[in-house]
Amino acid sequence: MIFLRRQLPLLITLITGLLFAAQYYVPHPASEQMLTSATKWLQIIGGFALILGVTSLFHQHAVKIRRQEAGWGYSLVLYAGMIGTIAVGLWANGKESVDGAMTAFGWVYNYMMVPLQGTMFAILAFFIASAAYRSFRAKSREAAVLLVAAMIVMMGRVPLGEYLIPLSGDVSSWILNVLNASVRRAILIGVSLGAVALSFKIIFGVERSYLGGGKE
Amino acid sequence: MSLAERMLKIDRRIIFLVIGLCTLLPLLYPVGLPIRISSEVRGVYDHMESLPERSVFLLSIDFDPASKPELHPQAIALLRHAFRKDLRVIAMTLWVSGTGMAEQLVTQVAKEMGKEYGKDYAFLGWSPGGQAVIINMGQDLYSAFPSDYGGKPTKDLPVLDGVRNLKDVAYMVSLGAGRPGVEEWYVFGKDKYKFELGGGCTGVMAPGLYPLLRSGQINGLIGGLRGAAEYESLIGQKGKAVAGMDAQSATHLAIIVLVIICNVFYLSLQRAARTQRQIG
Amino acid sequence: MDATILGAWVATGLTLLIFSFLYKDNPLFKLAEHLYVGVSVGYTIVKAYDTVIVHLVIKPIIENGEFALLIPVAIGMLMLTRYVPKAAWMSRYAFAFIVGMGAGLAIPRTISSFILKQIEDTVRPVLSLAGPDGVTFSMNRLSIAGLGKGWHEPASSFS
Repeated sequence: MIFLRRQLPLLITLITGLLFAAQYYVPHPASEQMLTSATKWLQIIGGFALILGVTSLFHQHAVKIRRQEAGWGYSLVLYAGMIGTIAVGLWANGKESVDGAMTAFGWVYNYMMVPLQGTMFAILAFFIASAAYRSFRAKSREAAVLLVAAMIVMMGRVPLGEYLIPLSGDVSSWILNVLNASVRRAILIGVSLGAVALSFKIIFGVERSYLGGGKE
Repeated sequence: MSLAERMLKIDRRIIFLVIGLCTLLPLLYPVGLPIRISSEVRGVYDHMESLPERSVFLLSIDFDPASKPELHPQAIALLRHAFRKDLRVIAMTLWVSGTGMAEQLVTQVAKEMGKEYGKDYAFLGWSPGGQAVIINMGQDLYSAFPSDYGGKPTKDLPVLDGVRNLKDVAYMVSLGAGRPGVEEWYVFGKDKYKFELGGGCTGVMAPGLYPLLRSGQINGLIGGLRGAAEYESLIGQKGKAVAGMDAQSATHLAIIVLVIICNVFYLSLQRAARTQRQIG
Repeated sequence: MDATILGAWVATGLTLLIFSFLYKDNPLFKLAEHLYVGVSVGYTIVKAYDTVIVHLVIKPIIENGEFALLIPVAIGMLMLTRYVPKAAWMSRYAFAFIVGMGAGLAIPRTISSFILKQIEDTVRPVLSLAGPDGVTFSMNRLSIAGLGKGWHEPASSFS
C-alpha cells in the first residue's frame, strides 16, 4: 500500500519530469507529437485543477452556514451569487454574447463582476497613497535613495512631471533602463536558478509537499 | 501633540479624499499636456508598422477587469493599429475572468473598423493551463483551440489560412497583468517557436520586464496607462488613456507633495528630539 | 426597465458599496465582497465546464473519436478525490503527473530564457571591449580571443 500511496506518485513525478525536460532537446517528430498530446492533456487537467481550487471555498462556507457561525449570512450571499451565475451561465452555454446580443450571463459579467473586480482593485490605489505617506520617510541613507528614485520616476512617468521638470523624463528613463534593469536582471537570474533547483528537487522526490492527500 | 506629530498621524481618509479629487477633477476638466513617446512603446509601434498586409498578428489579452483601466486602452489602440494595417488578427486570453471583456473589446474595435469575423479576425476565447496552452499552440494551434469562442471549428476560419502553429505568427503581443503573461509567452513560446514578441503590462509590472526588453527578448513594452497613452498618440487616435493621463499626473504630483510634507514633518520632529537630547 | 439601464444602476450601486470601505469597514462592503467572490467562482466554473468539458473533451470525442482524451479526464477526476478523505491519496497521481510535467517543461526553458539569455546580455558590454575578433563561450571557460564568429548566436554559443 505504501508503494501505491507514496512511492508510485514519486515515480510518476520522476519519469514525467525527466521525460519532458529531455524532450526539449529531442526534435524528433515522435517526441514533438508526445509534447503536443501531453500539453493538450495538461490543458484539460488544468480545467479540473481550476475547479478544485475554486470549489474548496464551497466547503468552507457550507460549514459556516451549517453551524450558523458569525457572518453566515454573507456566506449565503456568496452561495446565491455563485449558484445564480452558474445557472445563467449554463442557460447561455457559457457565452456572454450570442451574435452581438448580450446574454443573462453576459449581464452578470458586465454589470456585476466587472465593476466589483475593478473597484476592488481600485481601492488599492488609495491605500498605496496612504502607505506612501506613512512609510516613505528618509530614516536612513538607503531609504533616502529609495525615496529620491521613486519621486524622479513618478515625475518622469507623467506629462505634468516632464512639463514641470523637463529633465525628469530622461533621468527616469535612465533609472529604469540602466539601474533598474541590471538589478532586476540579477534578481531574475537568481529566482530562475532557484526555480530550476526547486524543479530538480521535485523531480528527484526531495520536495514532496505538493503531494498532500492524506498522511501516509 | 505638536503640529508635526498630528500631521504624521493624519487620518488616512483625508489622503483618500485628496487622491479621489485628484483623479476626478482632471477627468472632468482635462488639460491635455503633451505626451512624449518612449523608445519602449515605439518598439512595438515600429514593428507593427513594418508588417506587410495580411500578416498574422496574435494578441493575447492576459488580464481581467481588475487591470482594465490600464490594459484595456492598450488593447484597443493595438487592435485599431492592427486593423488599420489590414493585419489578420487572432485574439485570445489566458485569464478566465477576462474572457467576456476580451471578447467585447475585440468585437467592438472590429465593428468600428468595419472588419469581418472569420475573414479579418477571430477570437479564440480562453483555455486553461497557461503554459500548456502556449506550448500546445506552438505545436499545433488547432489542438490548443479546436474551436473559437463561438464554438466554430478553428480549421474552418479563413483568417487562419496557412497558420499551423506559433511559428506562423508574424507578431505576437501579450498584454499581461501577471501570470501567465509576457514572461510565460517568452519562456514557453518565443524561446522555442521563434516568433517576434512584444509586451504590454500594468505600470507596476513594467520595471520587472526591463531585463527582457534590454536583452531583446521582447522588442517593445507598453507600460501602464502612460504606455497606452503613448500608443494612442502614435496611431493618432486619442482615447481613454490620453484622457486619463491628466488624472495620473495629478495623483502622482499629489503623492509626491504628500511624501515631501511627511518628510518635512518627520525631519523637524527628529531635529527637535536631537535638540532636546542635547539640552538634556 | 431596460436591462442595460438596470445593469448600469446595479454596477453603480456595487461600485459604491466597495468604495464605502474607504470610509470604514461595514456590512455593505462585506456583502459586495462576498457577492464578488460568489460571482467570480460561478463564472470560473461555467467557463471551465464550457471550455474543458464541452469544447476540449466531448466535442472532439463525438466528432473525431478522440477517445484518448478520456485519459486526462480520468487524471482530472482523480484530482477531485481530495474531497473524499478515504480516497484522497489517489489525487496524488494527478498532482504527481502535473507537477512532474510542469517541472520538466520548466527546467530547460527557464535555463535558456532567463539564465543563459540574461547572462549573455549582461556580459555583452564587457565583451565588446575585446575587439572585432569576437568572443566565444564555453561552459567551463570564457575565452576572450579570436575564437571565431563569437557569441551572437544565442544557444549554440553556450556549448
